[in-house]
Formats: sequence, structure tokens, C-alpha cells
Amino acid sequence: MADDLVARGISQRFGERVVLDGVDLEVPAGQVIGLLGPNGAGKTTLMRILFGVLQPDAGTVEWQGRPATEDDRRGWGYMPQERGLYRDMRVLDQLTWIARLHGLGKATGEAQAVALLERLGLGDRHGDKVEDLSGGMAQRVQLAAAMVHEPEVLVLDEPFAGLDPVAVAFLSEVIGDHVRAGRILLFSSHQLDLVEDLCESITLIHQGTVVLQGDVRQLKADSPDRFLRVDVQVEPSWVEGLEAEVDSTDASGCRVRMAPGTDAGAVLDAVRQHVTVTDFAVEAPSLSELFLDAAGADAAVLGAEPDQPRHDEDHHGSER
Amino acid sequence: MSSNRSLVWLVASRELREAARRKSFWAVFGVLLVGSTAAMIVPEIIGDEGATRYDIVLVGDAPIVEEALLGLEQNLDAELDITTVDQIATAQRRVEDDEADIGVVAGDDPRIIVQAGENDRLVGAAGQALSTAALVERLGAAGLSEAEVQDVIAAPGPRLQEVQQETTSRRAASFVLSLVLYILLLSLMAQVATGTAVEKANRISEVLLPIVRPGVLLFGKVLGVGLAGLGTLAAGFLPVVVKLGLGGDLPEGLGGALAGSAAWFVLGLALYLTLSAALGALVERQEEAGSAVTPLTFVLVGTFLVAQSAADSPLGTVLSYVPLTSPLMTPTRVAVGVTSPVELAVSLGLLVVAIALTIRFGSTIYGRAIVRTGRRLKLREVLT
Repeated sequence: MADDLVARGISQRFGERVVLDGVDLEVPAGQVIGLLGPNGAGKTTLMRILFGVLQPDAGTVEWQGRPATEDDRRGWGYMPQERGLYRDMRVLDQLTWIARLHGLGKATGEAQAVALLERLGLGDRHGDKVEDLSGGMAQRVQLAAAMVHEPEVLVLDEPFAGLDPVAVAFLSEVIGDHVRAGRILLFSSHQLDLVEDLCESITLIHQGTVVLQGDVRQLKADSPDRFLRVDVQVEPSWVEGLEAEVDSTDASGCRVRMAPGTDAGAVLDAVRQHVTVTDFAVEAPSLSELFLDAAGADAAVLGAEPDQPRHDEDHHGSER
Repeated sequence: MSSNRSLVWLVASRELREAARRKSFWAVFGVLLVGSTAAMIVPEIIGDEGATRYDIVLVGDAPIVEEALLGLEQNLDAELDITTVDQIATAQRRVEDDEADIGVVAGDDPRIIVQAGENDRLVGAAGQALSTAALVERLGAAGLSEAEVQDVIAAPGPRLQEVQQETTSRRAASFVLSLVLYILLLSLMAQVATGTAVEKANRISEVLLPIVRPGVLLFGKVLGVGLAGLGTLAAGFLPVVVKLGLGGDLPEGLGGALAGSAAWFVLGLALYLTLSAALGALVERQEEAGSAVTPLTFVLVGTFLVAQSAADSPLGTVLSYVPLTSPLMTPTRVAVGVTSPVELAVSLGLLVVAIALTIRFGSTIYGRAIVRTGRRLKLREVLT
């Protein structure tokens, strides 16, 4: 599609460290696209390259079928992870100022900032300094800063990190509105399971290379693995000999991984011989399960990823 | 799309507006205003009330001597308090006891009594008064009328002009001025470096860089912080302007020092602040910003010391050409009067060239360093 934002063959290294190695990314208009992967995978670096803040060692960024220019990028909107605001500046002043940097007039910029703050539920916070707002409110101001000039391309770096479920739902709605208007949206996340319902298409990167890419439903359908989810605790011995094994157990029940072609009914019957099952489902693998399969054993770090950006001394220029 | 110039101004005006909202800005403004007003007013007050007073003991009834002494008040720039006593011994005792500055004995055996080595000028004046009195008496005895005698002695005496005094006051003026500029420069440098570090640490720069080029961002910040700094400095100049407007005189040497300082200070500000922004972009945390500009601080301190102690030395001459040191050195040399027009022109030219290079070079450092987070960077890493 001509309106796509496309990155081709992006490679970037900082000193000895290869951060991105031949990454391709396609972001069509009107779809929610997720750039996923664990912290340190290279997501932020790729976003900086999309915006021309970093010049890649190799590869190109194309917009509407031609290399993206400085002028193109000036019209886009970018929200960096967590921060990205002057903490001692007043909310409305800050948004109006950013709108004016994007080329809007003072009156128009302020009017759009006021309207956006109203929509984001911050209509009574115009004069507050950002540092006086709660984390969730500051996050919304940050989103407003990325959107105040009504950008054609909106890129959000880890927008869901640290949000409560209400804020996640709200943000999902804002993202949905943007996409339904036929615009471009790309966001990154390391919380794969949190965002798998939101994304229509994903690019999953790990250690600077793409390990999984495409339509989420298609990726799941293409996976031969299936899981039986039941609302009870399952002993591993119950499903022995059925080409199935207990994959995970938590407070709400168990997930039993079934080999391709296994009869799910037989596995369910085996469990029912021991306990009464009141709720069950056959599920395709989750995004994180697909990721673990694709990335291999060294991706075990995913489970241990902290929510907060980490400070890794040897880690400059990439994800934090 | 906005032009670069309007973007620079947008960035600068944000700095200005935020500065005007800070209490510290108005605190410095107030201190400078009060200090400068005091510096303008206090000398006037002291000048009116605090004129030197001399106590003189005059022995014997000698109206002509007394009149001659009082006629010298203007030359001495002092008020004379003359007491008349009968005995020479009384006068001598009073001088010994510090109750009087000198004793003057009129009559046939004129004498001046003074503590050894004290009151040179007063002794001279008293001697002159005694001579005048003697002259008046002899002219009267020679048959001149009183009017003719008055006419003869009315010839004004010489005024004392102390040359050393002027140089001293010019040096003092340039010292005060250099000190104010030096302190202002240090605080603005810290402000720029910290501001840049905050933008980097809070990832504001990542939002801004796709919209605004690094050079624009850098120059806008330097312009904004610089103008805010000059705004506080205006508080110091306001009383000076008011005093001039009211027809008052400036303290000796201040006018020249001010005029000489202005160009170098403004350009020096641009140079130092641009460097500070580039250095501030290298650090990882806001707290490290102060140490990032330490090398610049050392250069400033060194120059300040040399300027105050040896502005007219060969070292001073060399430093007045070097762009980093000329902003503090040249105004001092102007104030003490050891510069030549050629020196000024060359120094100014070099400074302008250095600024142009620094903005180019600084933008590159700034643009590259500001997105490389994770740890403090070295200049070498950014440039290669």
C-alpha cells in the first residue's frame, strides 16, 4: 500500500554491539501494529531510526513509497517510554509549545491542546506542572504531546508499561480511534500477552533480528500447537500417554500442551476422570509462547523481564 | 512548515518564559538591582556628609591667617574646624593628644605643630596660609589698599589632581564588572548544561529532534538562557542608566569598562553556553551536568585570576586573543587602558570565528550524544 511506513534492512551497531541486524518492518495505515520483544531487543533503536533521530548503519525508511524526509517526519508524533516531558512546565503550555514546533499557529495549537486534554480527561489540569500529576495522568499528557498536532503517523514506545487496567483500556480506545481514521500506528511492548488482543499484526524482534512477523490470528492459526485450558489443577500423571503435558499452572487452573493432532476430547476426558471440570477451552498458543518457540531456549529471559527500564552499563543507545 | 528562525525563537522563548517563572531568577534580579542601586547612591550620600574634617588649633588672634586657611578648604576638599587658643603649649598638647590635627602659630615667629609624618597636605596648606597672611601684612605695610591686597591674594591656588586615584578606580570598576560577569557566566553555564542533561535524561530530546534540528535546539537554548541571563544583568544596569539620565556622573572608569565589556561579554556568553550545551549532552544523569562543564570552569577561573592580577603582562596580551579567554581578559585590559584598536579588532574577529565553529561542532556533538543513553560518553566516542 502506498501509504505504508516501511523500514527495510535496518542495521545498527554501537561500538561492538549489534543492536539491529537487517530488520524489516511494515506499518500499513488503518491497522494496529505492534513492535514486540523483550527489553534490549532493539525496539527503541528502531523507532529512533524511523524518526531520523539516529542514522542507521544500513537500511532505509520509506514513507508513501519514497524515502522519508525531514519534513515528513516533522508531521509525525512520537511518544518515548515513560518520560519525554519537561517536568517543571505547565501542561497546557507544554502541549501548545509542542504543537507550535510542529508548525501550528499559537491559537490553533492551544485550541487543539485544550480539546485533546478534555478528551483525555485532563480538562481541569491545564495549569498543573507535569511533576505534580500522578503517573497515569502524566502518561496521558505524554500521549497528548505526541498527538496534539493530529499526526498522520503515531509511534508509541512502551505505552502500556506501568498502566493499570482502566488506563490500558482507555489507551487501547485512543489507539483504535487513531487507526479507524485511516492513520498509521505503531507501538512497542515487551508485555506480549497484555497487547496480543490489541494488535492486528506484529513484528517480534529478539537480539536485533526479527523472529516472528505477520497477522496475529494467522500466526496463531499456523502454529500446530494447541493448549487445553481447564479451571482445575491437573496432576502430570493424569495425562501420561496422551501426547500431552502440563504446561503451566496458576491460581485459575492449568494449561495442558497437546502435540499436533492430539484429540483434545480424550485429554479432557482423562482429566474428568479425576475431577469435575466446570470451564475449559482449546486455545492456540499465546504470543509469548509463539515467541519462546521462535526465539529458542535463550529467550527464557522473557519471563524474568522487569517492567521498569533497566540501567545496564554496557547498554547505551538501545533499549532501556 | 516553520522556518528555522521561528523555531529557534520558539525554543528560546520557552527558556525565557520558564526562567521568568523561577523564583531564583527574580532573587538574582533583586540582589543585582539592590546592589547596583546601592553602588550608585551610597557614594553620593558619603560624598555629601562624609567630607574630610580637620581640627586646627590657631595660636593667637590672627584673622588673616584664619581667613587664608578657610580659603584653602576647597583645595583640600575638606572642612576646617578652627579653634583659637592663647598658648603655644596648649596647641602642642592638643596635637600630641590627637585632639587636633595641627597647630598653627601666627605672628612674628610662625610655626606649624604636627605629629611626625602626619597630615602632609594639611601642613602644606597651613604653610601656604601663613605665607599668604605674611604677604598680606607686608603688602598693607607697603601702602596697598585693602582692595588691592584682596585682589592679589585672590589668585586661585593649584588644584591637586591625583593620577593614581583614577587608575585605581578603573581597576576597581573592572574588577566588580568582571566578577559579576564571571559569576553570571558560571551560573548560566550550569543552567544550560543541566537543561540539556534533563532533556536527555527525560527523553524530551527524542520528541524534539524529529521536529527540530539539533543545531536549532542548541542555538535556541543558548539564546533563551543567554537572554534570560542578560535580563538579570539588566537589573544591575538599570540604576546606572537612571543615574545617567538624571545627569549624575558614573564612578571613574565604569563607563569605559561597561562599553568595552558589552561586546565581549555577549559573544563570550554565546561561546561558553554553546560549549556547555554540547558537554551537557554527554552526561547520563542530571547530577553529572555540573562536572561536565568543569573544564570550562577551570579556564574561566584561570582567566579571571590572570585578568585581575596581570592584565597588562605578556600573558594577558596573549590571552586577550584566545577566544576562550578573551571575553574576560579584554574588558579588563580596556578598563586599565592597555589595549590597541588592532588588538581589539583581531580579538573580536577570532571570537566570532570561534563561535561559528563551536555552533557547528557543538550541534554535531549534541545531536549524536543526546540519543546515546545508558552511560556517560566521552567526546572521542561521539566524534568518531
